[in-house]
Amino acid sequence: MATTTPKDVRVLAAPRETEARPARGRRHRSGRVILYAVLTILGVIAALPFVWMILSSFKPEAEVRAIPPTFWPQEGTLDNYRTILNDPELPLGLFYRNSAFVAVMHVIATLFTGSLLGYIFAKFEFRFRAAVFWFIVATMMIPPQVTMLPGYLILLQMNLLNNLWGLIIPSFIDAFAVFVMRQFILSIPNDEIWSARVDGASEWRIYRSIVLPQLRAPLATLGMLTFMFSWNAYLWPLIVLTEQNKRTLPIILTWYSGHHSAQNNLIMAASVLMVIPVLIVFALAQKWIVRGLTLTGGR
Amino acid sequence: MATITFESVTKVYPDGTEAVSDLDLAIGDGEFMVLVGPSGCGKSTALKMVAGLEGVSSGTVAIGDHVVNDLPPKDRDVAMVFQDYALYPHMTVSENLGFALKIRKMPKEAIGERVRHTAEILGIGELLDRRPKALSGGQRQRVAMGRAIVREPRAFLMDEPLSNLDAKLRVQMRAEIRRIQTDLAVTTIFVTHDQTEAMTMGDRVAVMKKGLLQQVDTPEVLYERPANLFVGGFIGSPAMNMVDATLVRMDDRLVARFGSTELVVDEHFVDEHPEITACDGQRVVLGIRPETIEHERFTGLDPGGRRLEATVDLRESLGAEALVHFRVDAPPALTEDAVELVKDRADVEDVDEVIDQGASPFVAKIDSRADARLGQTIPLVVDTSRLHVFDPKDGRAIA
Repeated sequence: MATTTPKDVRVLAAPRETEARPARGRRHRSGRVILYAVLTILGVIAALPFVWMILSSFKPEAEVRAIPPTFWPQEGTLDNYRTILNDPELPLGLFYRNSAFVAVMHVIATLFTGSLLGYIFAKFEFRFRAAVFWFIVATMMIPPQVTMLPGYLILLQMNLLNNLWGLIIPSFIDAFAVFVMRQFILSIPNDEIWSARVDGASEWRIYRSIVLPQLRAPLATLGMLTFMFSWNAYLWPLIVLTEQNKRTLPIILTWYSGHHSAQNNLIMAASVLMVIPVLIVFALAQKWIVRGLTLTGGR
Repeated sequence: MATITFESVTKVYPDGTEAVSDLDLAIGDGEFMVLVGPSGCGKSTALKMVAGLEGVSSGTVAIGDHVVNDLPPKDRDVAMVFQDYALYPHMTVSENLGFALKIRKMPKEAIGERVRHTAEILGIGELLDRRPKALSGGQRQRVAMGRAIVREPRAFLMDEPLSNLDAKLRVQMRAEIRRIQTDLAVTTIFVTHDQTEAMTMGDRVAVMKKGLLQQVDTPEVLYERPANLFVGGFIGSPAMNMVDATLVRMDDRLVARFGSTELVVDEHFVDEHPEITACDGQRVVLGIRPETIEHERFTGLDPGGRRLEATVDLRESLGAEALVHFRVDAPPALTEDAVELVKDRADVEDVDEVIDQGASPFVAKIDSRADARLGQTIPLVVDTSRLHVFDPKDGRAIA
């Protein structure tokens, strides 16, 4: 039988490949140049609003409003930051604390419940497992605006309005986190779990000592995404928290538009102050986040 | 140390598949028992029931005097070695070895001592700080073994632990596992689909097929006196030749006739197996091991009534011996077991693809000095005192 294995094909094709190398090399290089050019343009488009925000935070009010707009600050100033930091009506430190508390609790709860439920859905056999899992995942399809009113009424019943826990408790279980964690845990071989069981480990110990340490990358990514989501949350905190001293940071974005008819220079500076913690968290966890985002469940 | 006993054990999965049926098996204290059979025969399931990783549908599994059906794995005090080793990738070799001891809250110094001692036994002392990723297949295998040894459990359970190693390493580890087991005298159940592994390692070997235990005995007995056609065909390498034959009485001697060949059954064989005389005139499945066929020039037997003419299809040299493949002009034995064996060996679903209805493939292991070239017709002699006769209806061994 004259069957041709892939190896044979390679051997047959080899001389032609050598001949074609110079032309292919050129094509390869020009392909890369185009790729980099396209990626650079897209990168600039993505970064532009962010850069503009930072630059505008150093412009005086008149320059921000100027038509045609300027890109670089003509007369750079730190007045916007001074105004915000010295605003007696704006307890910025308290907002930071509130936001940090909510975001950190949110991250801890999401990572814990996500990985624990993910482990259960990935490695335990029980009745209606698939049904329960897909029911949880299906909740991702519901727009948050749909559950806003019922959510508000439930918090009202629970006396959690104007309470930071009112933001934290409803997001204790995140369907997306459960889904992502389950997919990653599925790639841990069953033999490892069984081996630990035979070695005498309790289920809790297996979760803690065998499963969790292998999830560092996805946990970092998920943690970062959750932190960002929580830190930037605007609408729900606006509804749940109405008392000044309970508010979280994104509220300051409305501070200078609602009360004092949109002072864009101050809004830009406030925005920069708001995103700094997110940038710090990202910088710290960058290595794990990139790894987590590039992993597709394959180990 | 402990005995392990299966009593009428059955395992039925929720989808109705019966993986193990009514298994009765007693493994002695310190015994090395091998469970062998083709894939899907229930051997791994049986092992997992001992470990507690699979529940028992009915019957009892006992370790020592205690029925362990409802005992969680952690309370059974058995250690398991998995096919893919199941090393924890985020732990060093040392941490892998010490994990079970740490769970048992053993003092740190004692753990270190035991881990070092175990690493010494296995010759992996210099690997203790490495992660599994940085180890070769053989080294991982040793660590997996070490993880079982370090616990000093009542029993070792091994689920095809050598199947991921290359041939040379496998032979080496075979001997090593056997040596360690003998030194430690720990009751061991070793699961494999490789009959050579089973024969070389086991004190006793249990052959399984489709969830049913076929025969359990020492490797020698399985080879010499297989209980049925399946065991006869599964044990031994190259596999036993099987052919549809008729037993007839001619001149007061019993003759096995298949195609144009007539073999006179040795008188000693008839004396040892008197029940065979009742098969006069009946169709049987005749089993002839390749090792009992020799070239006429090199046999010590009288060729009269034992001759088999063969045209060489293929010759494989093994050094001192050579395997000669040829065909005999008789239909192959196509009992359920024989079909099962062909499927397992050729790895096909439809046996018609590989079976020639008019001729039976035969292999003979002959002296390599014998002149046996491709296409040549050679005179072979069969040792008819070592035949196997099976009932074609149920595959049971008649003699």
